[in-house]
Amino acid sequence: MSGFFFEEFRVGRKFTTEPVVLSESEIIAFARKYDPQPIHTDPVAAGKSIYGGLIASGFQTIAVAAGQWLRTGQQEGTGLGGPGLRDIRWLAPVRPGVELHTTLEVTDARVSRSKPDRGILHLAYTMRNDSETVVTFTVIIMVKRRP
Amino acid sequence: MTTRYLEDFTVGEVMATAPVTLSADEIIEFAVAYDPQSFHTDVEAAKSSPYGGLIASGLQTIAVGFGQFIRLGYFVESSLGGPATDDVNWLAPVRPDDALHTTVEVLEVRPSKSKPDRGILRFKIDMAVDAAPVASFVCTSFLRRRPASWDGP
Repeated sequence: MSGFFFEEFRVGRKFTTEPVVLSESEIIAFARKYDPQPIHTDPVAAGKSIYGGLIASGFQTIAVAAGQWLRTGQQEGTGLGGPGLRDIRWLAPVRPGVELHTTLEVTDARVSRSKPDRGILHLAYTMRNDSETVVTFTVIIMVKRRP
Repeated sequence: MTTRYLEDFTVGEVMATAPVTLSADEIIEFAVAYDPQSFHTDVEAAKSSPYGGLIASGLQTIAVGFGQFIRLGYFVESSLGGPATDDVNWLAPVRPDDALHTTVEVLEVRPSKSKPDRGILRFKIDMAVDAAPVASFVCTSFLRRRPASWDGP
């Protein structure tokens, strides 16, 4: 267990993650399974769409953002899963080969009333490309309190 | 696969989709890429987690539900993308080989005031295993309105 306990996630604390790039083949593989629309699966058809080229499924972009946070290890062993997501806003398309930067901010932190060994956090995610925000959303997670 | 334009959806209508299962391998493959937590990636470690066994990433669960809706084919010609999803609630764990049943209810059909060729569709996706809810979420999509020249059925 190397992650932070609940007490270390103070409201206002910010975290950065490693940048990541989605390749065309990763976008297509995800979309064939989970979001089979031509804008996500077919570069030629996508080129003729309103997006002018292949774009990632929005469900993939939020999953990538969550994955980058988890790979920081900062909730390794302390995260207990989460009850939900709030306010997902896809603001700009995510295209292959573009570097994506995900940051997080703790926006709420409270001790669970029913299970006093854990706290409930709201982590507000922002993912940007080199010039604009592509998606924002809030993850609600449960994290162990310091024993 | 019949495209449905904005006015082809009615508030309150409920659409069923084909049931689908996730294998342990599919759960692990997704989680290694996108949600690397041991209760999603490691069968043995998951046994000693609060969940008592491997469970699917919630992100995978909602992607499966959305995919089953897309496979109905209604959005093929009409979708102009989705700006938002709200109120994602994970209500119970999804385990390998659970049969996931996804239904979709139309919440709102609203023509755009500024762009007469399109409007907003809001729909709630509910997912259940053995009739017990496991996830729900509300999607917002921009949809084309039926082309003016259209004269079918």
